[in-house]
Amino acid sequence: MMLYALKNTGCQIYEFKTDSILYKPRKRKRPDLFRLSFKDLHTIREMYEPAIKKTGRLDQCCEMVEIISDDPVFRVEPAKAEDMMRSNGNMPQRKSTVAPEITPLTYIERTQVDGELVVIQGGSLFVQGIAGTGKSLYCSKLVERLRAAGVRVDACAKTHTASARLPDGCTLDHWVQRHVLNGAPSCQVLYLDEISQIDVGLLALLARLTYTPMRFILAGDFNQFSPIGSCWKGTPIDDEAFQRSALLHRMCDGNVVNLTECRRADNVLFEFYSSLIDGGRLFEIPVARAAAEAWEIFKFEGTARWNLVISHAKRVQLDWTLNLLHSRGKEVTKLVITGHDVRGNAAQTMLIWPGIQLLGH
Amino acid sequence: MLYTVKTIEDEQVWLVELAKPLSFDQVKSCLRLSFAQTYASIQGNEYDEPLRLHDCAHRFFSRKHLFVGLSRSKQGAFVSLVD
Repeated sequence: MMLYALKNTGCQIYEFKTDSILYKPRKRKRPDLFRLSFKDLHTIREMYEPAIKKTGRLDQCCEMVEIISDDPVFRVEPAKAEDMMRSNGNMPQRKSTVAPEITPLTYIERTQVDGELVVIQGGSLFVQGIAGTGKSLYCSKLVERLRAAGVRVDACAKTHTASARLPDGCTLDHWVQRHVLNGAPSCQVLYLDEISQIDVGLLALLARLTYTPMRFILAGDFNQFSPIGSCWKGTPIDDEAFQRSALLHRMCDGNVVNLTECRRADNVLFEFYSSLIDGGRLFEIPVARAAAEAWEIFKFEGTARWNLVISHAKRVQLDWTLNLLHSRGKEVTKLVITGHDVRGNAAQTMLIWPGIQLLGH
Repeated sequence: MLYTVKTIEDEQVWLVELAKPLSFDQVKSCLRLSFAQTYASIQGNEYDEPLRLHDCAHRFFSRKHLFVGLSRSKQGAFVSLVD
């Protein structure tokens, strides 16, 4: 009613609140709201929009019922300075300067036997240690023992290379697609190897499982490669983010087994590469100097069966050179790749013979 | 995963690890030479045979490349590094 009256008298509205309106009336046409009583409400339209003579209204057959009361409908008072609505148009700001308290994550370091017991008794575990200390071997034995006890265990790793070495393993992307995004996990324990390579997208999906009864066996070494292109909504994620995260702590219930004994390489090799990590004597020096030192120690001169390179372009080039070298004196079959298939890091022309080892991709 | 060629006959390749033979087209599309691999793809592997680390002077060669590369081998006597 008030808005109707103000609109028809051309008033300028300054503030519109739940229980009041601040307005400026026009000089010649005032709304006179203070004169309006309840008994006038059913005829208010006649007051502000009188009907033209000899015409009817569309709603003339459904007139409003009269309210028999002389009480005024509105209170009208001149505005004061304190009537103005108080508001702060600035952006919200945090007034407190106290830094939030972050409780440091504490891990319980367990022996190998203790760690095994923790898992057998229904806990989770993180097995860490630098390369060649037997993490995968330790976890594989643990998985075998759990499976023998009737516990359903799934084994996954980020890459095909790592997952191929796991007992009945598959890639983590495959497992997540099947059991998280398009289904529900049927296992009771999830064994994740090479956890340093898991990107944040997969971790976000795995984080859901930490609110279920599922248990985890994690193995990995954060000194090795981190995930390629790990980013969250366009923001790159720090390589050490997962290592420091509460998610890792929650996944392993704070139980850690730290393996330090070399089980793969000989002592010279192990001592050298273990000195490259944080705390080692070669950690602080530039990588070029560390590589030069390695160059002096490791001097195999024959033809290497395995060659590691940075780029795929060099891999393709080196593969072909060594393919020709190793094919000498053998009865070979040439598989020629032409056209679009040659591009990028896909297939390449190769000579094959009985006994050659090829890589599935 | 590595596959070893057992025999090649009638445009079919028999592999030790598979019960059925692969056609030449399948071999070309699914298998590749294994003499050289990228550093990024070998994490999780270990090698008994001679291993050579290339690109040691490459601008993208890092401490992690050196660490992962060296730690794949079982014997220091079978390792070498080149530019």
